[in-house]
Amino acid sequence: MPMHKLLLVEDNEMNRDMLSRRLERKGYQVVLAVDGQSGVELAGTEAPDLVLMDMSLPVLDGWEATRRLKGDPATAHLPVIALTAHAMSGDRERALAAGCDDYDTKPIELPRLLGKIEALLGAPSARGAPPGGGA
Amino acid sequence: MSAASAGAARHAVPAELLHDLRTPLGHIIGYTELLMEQVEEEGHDAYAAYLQKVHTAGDQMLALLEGNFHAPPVAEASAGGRGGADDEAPRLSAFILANREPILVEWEAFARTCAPASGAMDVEALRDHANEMLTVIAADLDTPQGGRAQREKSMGNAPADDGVTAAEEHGAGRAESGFSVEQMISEYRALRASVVRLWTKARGAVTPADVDDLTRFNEAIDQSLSESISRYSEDLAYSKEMFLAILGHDLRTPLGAVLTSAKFMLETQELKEPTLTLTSRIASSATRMVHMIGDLLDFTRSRLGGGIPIVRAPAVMGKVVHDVVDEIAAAHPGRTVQVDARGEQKGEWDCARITQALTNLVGNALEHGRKAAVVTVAVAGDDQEVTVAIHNRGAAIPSDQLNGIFNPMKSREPTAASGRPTGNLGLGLYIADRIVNAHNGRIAVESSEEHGTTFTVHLPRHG
Repeated sequence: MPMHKLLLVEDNEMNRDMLSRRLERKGYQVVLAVDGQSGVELAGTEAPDLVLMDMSLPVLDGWEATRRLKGDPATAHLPVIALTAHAMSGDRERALAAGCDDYDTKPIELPRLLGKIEALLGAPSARGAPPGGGA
Repeated sequence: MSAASAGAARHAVPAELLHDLRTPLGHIIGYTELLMEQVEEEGHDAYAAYLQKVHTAGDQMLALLEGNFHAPPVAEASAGGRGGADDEAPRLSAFILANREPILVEWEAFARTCAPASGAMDVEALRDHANEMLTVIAADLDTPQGGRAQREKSMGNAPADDGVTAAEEHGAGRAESGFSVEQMISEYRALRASVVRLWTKARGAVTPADVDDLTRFNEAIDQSLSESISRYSEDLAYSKEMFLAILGHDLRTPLGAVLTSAKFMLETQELKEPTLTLTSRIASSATRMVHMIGDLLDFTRSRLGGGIPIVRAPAVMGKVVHDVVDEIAAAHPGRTVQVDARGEQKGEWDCARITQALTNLVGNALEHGRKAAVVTVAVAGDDQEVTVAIHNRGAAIPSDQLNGIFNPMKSREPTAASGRPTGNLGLGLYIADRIVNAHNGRIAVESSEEHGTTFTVHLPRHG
């Protein structure tokens, strides 16, 4: 089965590094963007299968970036999972209203996030290790 | 800034603090889980135990942060107090005393509708306060008062009593049981409404004397309300800060376990890539949390009235700055921090505190400065003082934000679209300013698109 390509839009360097390493270990190809603007651009040029979108981003925040992705016929079909550090009630509704297909909170629980990614991609990916190793 | 908005902003701080701590904690947990998978595959059982320890500590910290996301109660509110003197007073006061029961029944029904769903204090205890307040109000209606006392009371300036009033107790109880100010005000409105409704129904026609009674009754209710609110706010502010202090303290133990385990792994000198990088990242995230929690504890200490204590000892500023920069540079691979030290560098300062202040300032410069640009730290000395100037390139701080930039409530700028604050722990600048102030020094700020941003710390050599 072909390797799925994920676009991770995240401004925090450590979050980007950590999450991309973890996703790559699980058999995904990961493309990185550091702000909402470059996220929107890369979504057009890199043709990812799914977008993981941090919501508090510089230049163009995740809410607006998602609205643009969903407003452009070329990228509207891309599933977007919102990642927010706020476990606040209302964020989920806001993310869905902005057009996100799903929503997750930080700190990331990888097995939970993988479950959401797989659900949106429609099939389990090739996995290097069982979820939640050692937890 | 008005007192009311200052109060509101102060209450906004804790949630943001906890939120900020989650970021490095997320790094610790994520990298640890990644490493656990890695060492398991490679069969490095020796590290598995340390990683397990780190992971457990990470989970503990997360539980502390998430479990405590909402500020907890403080002291037990003591319900009760003395019973009122039931005399045969005429008119409204007599009516209140004679009809306590129906008034309280109506009020209680209302209070139940606005009690928070979880952890609600029992309505019976608060009913005692309401009963007590009715007694006080009734007694007040019977006390002759001149126009001045009436005016004072209507402005919330009643003479201070020696003890805690029923209204103050009520406010403390409400803060403890998680009522909002609006809910508490609604309760008073309900108390007022029950009395007036029942009374006018009983009276039929209203006389001029009744109007005077009603006016005084309303003033007494307002006075009680103002006492309740004032006590409510004090308790809430105190409890949130005390809560932060306790939380910060509780986080230190598991954080220590993370740091020790990561450092031990690094000290074996046996780690290969990518294990080495991943472990260093756990250590630097833990170090970042140590600094944040240190700031947090200092913040609560200074808010709770303790100030920041300093102990002076002879020191060389160039050395202090180099140590700060070395540690910070290790946590920011790919960034460059240049130190330029000249002039007389010696003085007497609290090295640990100055290190903390400079770490915050240099950390800020790295965080807010343009990523490709060098951050410079220039140390200079003359007869009177030593200065440390931290400079970064990048977007200028808007001039309206320069004023009050050391205020922890103002240092966060919400993003335009989300309305959420960006950036990092807003306490850093506040703490740096407090520390420099404790040394009788000051911090100056200049910021422009053209020249970048410079924070200059001026420290007298000796107190």
